[in-house]
Amino acid sequence: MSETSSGHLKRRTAVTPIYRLAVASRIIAALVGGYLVAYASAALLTVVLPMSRINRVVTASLLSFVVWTVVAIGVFAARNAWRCWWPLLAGGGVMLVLAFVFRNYGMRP
Amino acid sequence: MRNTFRQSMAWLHTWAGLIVSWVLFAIFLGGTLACFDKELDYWMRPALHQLKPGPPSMDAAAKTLRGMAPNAETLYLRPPSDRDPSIRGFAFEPGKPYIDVALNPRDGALIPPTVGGNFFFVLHYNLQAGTLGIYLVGLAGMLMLLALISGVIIHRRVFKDFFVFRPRPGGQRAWLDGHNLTGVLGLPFHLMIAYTGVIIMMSSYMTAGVQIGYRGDMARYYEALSGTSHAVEQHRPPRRVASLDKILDDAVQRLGGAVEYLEIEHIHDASITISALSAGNDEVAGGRRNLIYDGTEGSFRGENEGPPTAYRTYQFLSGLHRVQFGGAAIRWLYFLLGATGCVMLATAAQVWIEKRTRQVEAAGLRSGYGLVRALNVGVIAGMPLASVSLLWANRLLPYELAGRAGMEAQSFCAIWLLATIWGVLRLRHGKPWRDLFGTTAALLFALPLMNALTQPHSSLLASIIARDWVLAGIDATALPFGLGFAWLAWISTRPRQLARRDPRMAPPRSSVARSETALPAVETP
Repeated sequence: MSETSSGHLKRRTAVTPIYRLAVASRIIAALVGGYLVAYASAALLTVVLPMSRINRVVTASLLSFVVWTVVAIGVFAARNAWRCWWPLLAGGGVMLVLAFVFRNYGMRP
Repeated sequence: MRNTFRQSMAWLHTWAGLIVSWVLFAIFLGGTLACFDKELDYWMRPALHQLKPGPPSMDAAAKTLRGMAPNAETLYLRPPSDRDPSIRGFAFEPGKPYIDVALNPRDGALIPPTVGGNFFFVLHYNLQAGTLGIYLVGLAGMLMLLALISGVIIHRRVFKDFFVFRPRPGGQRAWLDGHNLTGVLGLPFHLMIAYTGVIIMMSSYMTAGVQIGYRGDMARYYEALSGTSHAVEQHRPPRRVASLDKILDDAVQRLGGAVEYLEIEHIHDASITISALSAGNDEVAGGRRNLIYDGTEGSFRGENEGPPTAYRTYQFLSGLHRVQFGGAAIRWLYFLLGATGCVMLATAAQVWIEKRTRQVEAAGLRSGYGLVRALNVGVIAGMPLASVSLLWANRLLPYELAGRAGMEAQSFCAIWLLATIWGVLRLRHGKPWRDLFGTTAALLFALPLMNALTQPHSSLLASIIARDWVLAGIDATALPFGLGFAWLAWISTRPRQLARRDPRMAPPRSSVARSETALPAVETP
């Protein structure tokens, strides 16, 4: 996408608006989308982890940042914008719904 | 979008790194200086340098603090330590600014206020911008984590490049080698600092667990974390308040070590409770034990059960970041590795510009490239200058001046702003890096002299004679750092650098292809 030529400076100066949009989209996906998935994973882990409540909450929060990191790397490795965004929204959404449905189980002591 | 995984990671490294590099530099420099926050606190409070020996009076300090915050429910008092001889008092009254004061350990008198070394600590964790700043720093930390991991992936020859430094060719190669050297040297430290830095404030921004586990009730969550339950209020005033000095003595004996804080809870109620938290300086995770005393009788009630296991893990991780363990040697190690991180970030921002020399020249200063160059010089050269200026402002502003702490902070901001404006104006015709680095070097060299003239009892010579190594250490450290900045100013004047920055003197660049092949791992958009 970025390598489209623009005259004689084609080797190094092809910073088109589309390229800038692509960079902005990936960075937003990595930060906002990554946060969404991390948040959802913390919620779901608080429900499923096999330990006492306060330990579940703290452990889930600590692990969610690892999830965020992995997701953000995946976002930049994705081949196109569609493949970058849909797993984020689907994965985050499914985890959030599951955590919400089983939220009473998540409150066990 | 990118052809290979490594290329996509180079893409991530370039852009995630660029947008966050200046904020990260400010966070890194603030954090590096905050390794010695208590030492700087001490240096910036000359009233503490002439203390007569004797035991501290926590009761006198509590009296002063209660007078300053008559409506506060809870008071915190930090007894003197090896690093800070003052008694520190903290209190919060609803609807009023947080109170954080240093008190004379002998008579509890208020020490003239200063922002102290604490200024750099606050700058480090919220950029002096409250809750919004905490979020920004958290995002910057995540981007740093991403830049570090992608940096390792794109760096094929981590071990080999560690021994490669080619300063002589100048320009891009030297900057990139410098970036790789400092990046690889500090990598384990930087990975640890980025992750632990993000999780320290997790209860501010990763609230999903509390939402699910406690229906969003933060108070219950914090109660479960601390492992203590609070006394029930009795709605009548206490008959008397027990002596804090006796409680402190008793707590030190029971703990067999120092007390970090005395916490006085329900101060206006008969249920008044005083607890002593152990300092635990020999543990990475810090103090675990919490002794509880009756606030009217001063009798020992018992010890809390301590934090739950996962929270102890959190305390270990945040303890690794906050470096309150292990003494001065570990703090020096963190300080030097933090400085390495500053160099890594500064060289990174410079690599980005050097790789785009031709676009920069074509686009001129009124462009995104000009903005990057302005931010580079304004942040990387401007912030060290502002930081040294804060120490100067501390000595030059009269100590009896009302609101002097705020004026110190304002002078830090004003100097930074002026330095940035100067840097931007000189980008077109001049050597902004030399100007700012040179001024920083001069201020560092002259710091001990200025200190001796304004506070003769606190001078380098006087503190060496008094064997006050904390005080002498600040003045003495200014000198090698002055040398370092003088060297930076000197290399900023070399003709090779000038040629790259000033299009009028640009040499014919037949070397574009060469510089492309020199960088196989990092791609240019």
